Amino acid sequence: MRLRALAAVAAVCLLAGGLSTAQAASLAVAPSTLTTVNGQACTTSSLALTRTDAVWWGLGGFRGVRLTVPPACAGRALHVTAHQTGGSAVATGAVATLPTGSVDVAMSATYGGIFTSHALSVTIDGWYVATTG
Amino acid sequence: MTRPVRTPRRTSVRRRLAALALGALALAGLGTAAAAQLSVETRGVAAGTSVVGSCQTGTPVRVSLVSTFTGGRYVVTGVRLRGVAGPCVGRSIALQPTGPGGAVGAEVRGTVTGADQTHTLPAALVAAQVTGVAVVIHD
Repeated sequence: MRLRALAAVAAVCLLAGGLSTAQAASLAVAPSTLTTVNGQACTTSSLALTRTDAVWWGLGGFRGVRLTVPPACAGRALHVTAHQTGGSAVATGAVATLPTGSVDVAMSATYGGIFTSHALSVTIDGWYVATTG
Repeated sequence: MTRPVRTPRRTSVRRRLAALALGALALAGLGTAAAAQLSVETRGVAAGTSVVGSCQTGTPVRVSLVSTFTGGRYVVTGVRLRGVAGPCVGRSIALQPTGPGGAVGAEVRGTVTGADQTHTLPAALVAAQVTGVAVVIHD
């Protein structure tokens, strides 16, 4: 009888020990969120650009710009600045919502011409986009 | 040449000595076994699992730059996020402009304030050098 009682007590002790170990092995972890976004320009290719609305066949400068917009850039905002190389802006143009394909942009002033050389810089949604032409 | 005669008394003494030697050896073995044990401090180990989700589902966040023309070139002064989902509002956010060679400029930390928000960069960056912005929204 004494042996059976001792065996029962030992079994209960083992069970209790196992339970405490199992409880210690679990941990309540609160759910969390992690969201990552990788923002990029709508295009990494150079945009084809041509000077338009020439004054005196271009001798007196230009008053517009024509760009070919890739489909990924449709619906975004475009800004064009004609400027002296490394210098101040001469004329600006903007399109609030770009269509796909060819788009004509009217500039705020005449730029370029036979006596002055002006560079053109373009951004789409604020991202700098290289141009050709 | 006469062989020594073993008396019962002498045999009994030898047996006792042998028993003592065995006992001593057993004790030494126990000591060695005890020395081979390592005292380990009691520490708790716990583990749990949880699903890490995203607060932005459906429409992706639109990332644009705040650029101005200064000194003959476009410079970036801020990052604008549009289309941020409601569950992301109030959470922490970190933004890092990147270029072809990795990080460009300093990281910006803040809090998501709404669906449309602008985070100002600590210093203006040359727009031509910024090709991406890495954004992390977390608890």
